[in-house]
Amino acid sequence: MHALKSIHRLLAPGGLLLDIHPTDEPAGIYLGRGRSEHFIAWLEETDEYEEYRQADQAVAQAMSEGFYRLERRNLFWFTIHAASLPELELYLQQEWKDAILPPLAWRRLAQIQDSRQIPGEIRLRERIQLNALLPHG
Amino acid sequence: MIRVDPRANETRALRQSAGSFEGLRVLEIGAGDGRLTRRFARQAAHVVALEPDARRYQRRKLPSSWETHVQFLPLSLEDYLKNPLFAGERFDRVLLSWSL
Repeated sequence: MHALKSIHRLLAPGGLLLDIHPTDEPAGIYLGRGRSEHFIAWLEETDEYEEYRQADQAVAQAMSEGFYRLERRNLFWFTIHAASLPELELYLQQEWKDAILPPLAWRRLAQIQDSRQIPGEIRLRERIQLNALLPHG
Repeated sequence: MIRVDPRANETRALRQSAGSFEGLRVLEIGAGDGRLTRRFARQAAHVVALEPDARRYQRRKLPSSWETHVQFLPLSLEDYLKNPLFAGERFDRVLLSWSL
């Protein structure tokens, strides 16, 4: 909330704040090839996606206190594509330290690949919101 | 090889929400290695991109020709606001890039 108040002072007349952050919907891990996908597991987080709920609350508070009004909310899927689960795991260690690849993901992937002989890539899919906020005052 | 948002959904959402960045002054908070910055900086008149994480800041990748109008700073928003060099700066677009 403090950041949102500070940003308000930085906006020129007619300016726009664009806040991009994930929803608190868990990110899904899939085995994909072209348009075909098989669900593997939900990605876990050490704080169970609590920080994204707090971000939502900060935006809601900034609006209720009259700093901004919501011009538009856009939801979209943001995906990370990896050649393998180990590659995704390494990427997450570097870029998403709170993320936990559950042991179930490895077992499930092995089951799918053994039973269906499906080659493919690993996809991590997150639901992201983009809030376009117009400053009041 | 890791591919990040290969369908450019984020760029499309940004364009739908914010329209063109042509000729605008833009502040990006939490710019990382410049992944999103590269999507709009070419159009903008001036960009200040803040990234306080030293590891991500070191990995920033922007065309050297953009250095005339893109300022990539290893600062948090709080540090930027405290710095008298930047007092009075105003922006047409402020991007809170996965940073709230």
